[in-house]
Amino acid sequence: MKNLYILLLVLISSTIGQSQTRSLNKFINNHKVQDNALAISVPGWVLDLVGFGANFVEDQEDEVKELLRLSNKISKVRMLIIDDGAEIKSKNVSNLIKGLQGENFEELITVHSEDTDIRLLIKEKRNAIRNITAFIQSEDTMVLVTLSGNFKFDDLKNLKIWDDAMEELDDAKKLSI
Amino acid sequence: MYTLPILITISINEKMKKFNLVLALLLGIVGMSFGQADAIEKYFSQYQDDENFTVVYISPKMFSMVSKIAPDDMDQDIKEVIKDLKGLRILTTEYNTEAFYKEAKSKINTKEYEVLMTVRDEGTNVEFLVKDTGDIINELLLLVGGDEFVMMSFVGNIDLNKIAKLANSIDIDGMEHLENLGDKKN
Repeated sequence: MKNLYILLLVLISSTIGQSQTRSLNKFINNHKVQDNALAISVPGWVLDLVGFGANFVEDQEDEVKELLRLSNKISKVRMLIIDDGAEIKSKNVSNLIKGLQGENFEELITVHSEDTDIRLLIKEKRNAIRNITAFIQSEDTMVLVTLSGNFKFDDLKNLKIWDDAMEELDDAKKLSI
Repeated sequence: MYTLPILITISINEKMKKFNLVLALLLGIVGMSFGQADAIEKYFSQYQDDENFTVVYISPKMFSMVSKIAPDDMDQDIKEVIKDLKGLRILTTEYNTEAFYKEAKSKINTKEYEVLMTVRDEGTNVEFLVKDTGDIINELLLLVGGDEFVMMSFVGNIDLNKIAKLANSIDIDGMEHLENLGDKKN
């Protein structure tokens, strides 16, 4: 019986692992070895601990509570940051986007100009968001953030970070265009 | 709209002649002006990775999401425009503007797009074209040629009275030409 439980645990873990896409894995693995590159991976159990912290937040801090509760629905966060490093070639970015589209990602926003590239993609399954990936490159800085999990858009809409994100997007567009 | 009928007759062999099998396969392909949508989209796709161009694409899903999270204090007309939009593509450059303007104009099927308004001002040509079904405008196409080349395509159920207001809320080069629509109305 103990072996059956271990087998089930391995199967569940491998399923979670497969939620990370091949295209993203390849892109991150290829570029995390660059100079000035920082690759961060936050596993689900750490996010669960963070989410548990919602129970200790004061009632007035709705925004913080919402964020912490949302972390319960996120299974993994990966980031790749290259600051003051070599620019990622547009061909590599195109290959990443095409790869993601081949894996059922849908492009939400694209802003591309001479020295700025902003992409936001989403993967949905059965009306649930399974992955949100954002890629931002501007001059000598590149940031790739990918969230895997199982949440609804309604879980996000109450977060004020949307206002912040929209402001950042407007600022980026004003710089690039 | 295309309908492509294919009739296939199969006659099996000598022994089966009595039982000639006539297989009629009728394929109906209902296109949404399939050929023309391809031409505009192809034109955008052709230059979307070109370093000389600025490209903006906002998908139908993004508009749907934005309409759900729009703040309560947002202008009601802009909220309604966003709710009804199903896509936005912008292509703009300051290189070889006249050549790209002429090339873009040559791609447009004048049987499907109707010129709504033309503005010429100090060497800049601005053209608004629409594709509609009945009273509903399904696509608004903006072409600008002069100091800059701009090609802008809005897809959805478009209210010209309200879309001019969008120019003030989206700070992207080329959007200011939408204000001419408001001037036309007045």
